[in-house]
Amino acid sequence: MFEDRSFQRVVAVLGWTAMAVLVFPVILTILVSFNGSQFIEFPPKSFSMDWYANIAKINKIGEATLLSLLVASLTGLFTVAMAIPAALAIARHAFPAKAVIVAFLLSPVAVPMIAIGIAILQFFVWTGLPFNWITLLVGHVVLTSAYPVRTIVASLTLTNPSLEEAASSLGASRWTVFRTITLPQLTPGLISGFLFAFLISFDNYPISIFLVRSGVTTMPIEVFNYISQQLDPTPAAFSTIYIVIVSAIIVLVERRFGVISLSVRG
Amino acid sequence: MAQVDLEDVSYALGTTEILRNVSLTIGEGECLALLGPSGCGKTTTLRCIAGFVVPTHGNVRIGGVSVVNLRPNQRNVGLVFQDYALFPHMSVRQNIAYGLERRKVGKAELAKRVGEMVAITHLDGLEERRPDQLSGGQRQRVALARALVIEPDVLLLDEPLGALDRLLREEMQVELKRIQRDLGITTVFVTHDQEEALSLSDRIAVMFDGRIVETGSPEQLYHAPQQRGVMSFLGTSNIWQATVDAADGPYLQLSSGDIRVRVAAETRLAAGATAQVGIRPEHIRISAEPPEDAVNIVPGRIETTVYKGAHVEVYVGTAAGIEFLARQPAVSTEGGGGLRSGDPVYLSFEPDNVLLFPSGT
Repeated sequence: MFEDRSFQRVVAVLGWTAMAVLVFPVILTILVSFNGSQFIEFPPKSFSMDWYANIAKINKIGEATLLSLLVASLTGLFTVAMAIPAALAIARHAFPAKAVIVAFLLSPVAVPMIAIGIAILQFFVWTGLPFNWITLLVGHVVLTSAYPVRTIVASLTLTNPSLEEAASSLGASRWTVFRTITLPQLTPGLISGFLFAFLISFDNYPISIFLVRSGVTTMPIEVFNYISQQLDPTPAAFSTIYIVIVSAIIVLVERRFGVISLSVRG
Repeated sequence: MAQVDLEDVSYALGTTEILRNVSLTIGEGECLALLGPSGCGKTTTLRCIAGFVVPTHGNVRIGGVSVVNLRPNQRNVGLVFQDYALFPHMSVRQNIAYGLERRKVGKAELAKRVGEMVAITHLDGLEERRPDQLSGGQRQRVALARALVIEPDVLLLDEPLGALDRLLREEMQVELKRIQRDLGITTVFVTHDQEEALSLSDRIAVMFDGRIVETGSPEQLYHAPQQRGVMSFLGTSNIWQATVDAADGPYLQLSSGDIRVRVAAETRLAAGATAQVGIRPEHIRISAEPPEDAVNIVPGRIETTVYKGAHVEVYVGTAAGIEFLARQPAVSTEGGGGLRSGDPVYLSFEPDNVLLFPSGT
């Protein structure tokens, strides 16, 4: 069946259609950002770089982007650090109620973000703790924790357990084995896990909106506020820069570590 | 370098007994093969010595000292894995140096010892390569160098040549033997390949079903195995069931249908007792006429011949329904040297070459 010409043609058409659907909004955003018109419209009528200069007019955009970067970076670090022991336990050991615990660890992926946002909001109101950027960080860690677990488990299942035994028989203690053999093997999983957590945190809106209070604001919130008040292509210009930077990072990381294939497999 | 003793070692996983009362001594500098079919417990035995398996009963000594309570990293053991288990993120040099770094060997000393090992294992020029840039034989040598550079008390090899193709395997057999002899290191290797066991080891321990059933030199086990199972596992053989007729001078005569064989047996069996009789294919002669001087002659008819280059394997059927395999030097004439399917022939063999296994062995 899979050698069938017409079958292959159907698969190719479906594949390219899916690609087009995914890429179209990105191309549209980029084209619109260079449009001379006052409004977001397609096809563009004239060329202009004005909207790039206008990015600074988005309220608190510099400050908000810096905070988003800080929160996203720390979210990535914390979730990855928390995911390593969890992934080791899941991939290497059998323990009671393993299936239940694994399902629980991966559950944030399945719960709607709004629900998580409301739950975390209620939690912080109940504790009486002040709302600041740390509140936001905790929320993002909860939201993204499942992704590094998945990518690190995938990395672990690809490693050869006899490597660790070889190191051990050569005189390495458990900790040395982990540091010199296990951890380097996990690099692709750690990096892709970090990237997932970072990117999800960085452009998260539905959870952040519940957890920010006066004085604290994030990039997606300010961009969204701008869109709700103005109709010009400034957010498209901002998004274009964002798309270029993220794409460059992903290409570099993929070249170096081959992590995308890993997360697909996971 | 040290002697290794396994004393009444048993190991069970749940209710499954994997090792049953294994006792074995590997002398200083000796090269011992653990030979057996897959699942016989030979790898588990190796892992007991390495420390990855803790026996449920019994003791393991290396150099006279009990090591059962020591973790693998606390034993001075060199282990070569079947898949080599080279560290993929390290160069050849870093792989070899790993064990020395764990032992806090100084820089100059480390470089010197790694260099020596690279020379011994013929890895010169490959020091900066990564494992995925090496051929199978080169990887094997890196694994060996990495295990040997720590000057282990004992070298353990798990199916050392299993992952190599035939030509490379023969080359590495010679290489491995040379290195083992030169360093005089106590070596235990696991294999299911009888040829590998015969050609590499000083002594073979044959394992079936978690037990060591027989140990001996390759020659002993091949020519004079004490057990039927060992004979059929080592090399090819013809084994059949027969009944003792009577003692006949220096011989014992047994028959199976109209096949009578006389055996130079020291075991005296009573008439009527059953036993297994075995003969190696290379000890059977084939002739068109019955040879006059032979003690054992079996008439038969050629069923098939298989040309193997240096020799021809001839399958001969007999009236008693027993099929014999005989190995003859190949004659360089076409048609297998006059051996044709359907030809009537006479098989003959010396009583000395016939092995006798009383029932129950």
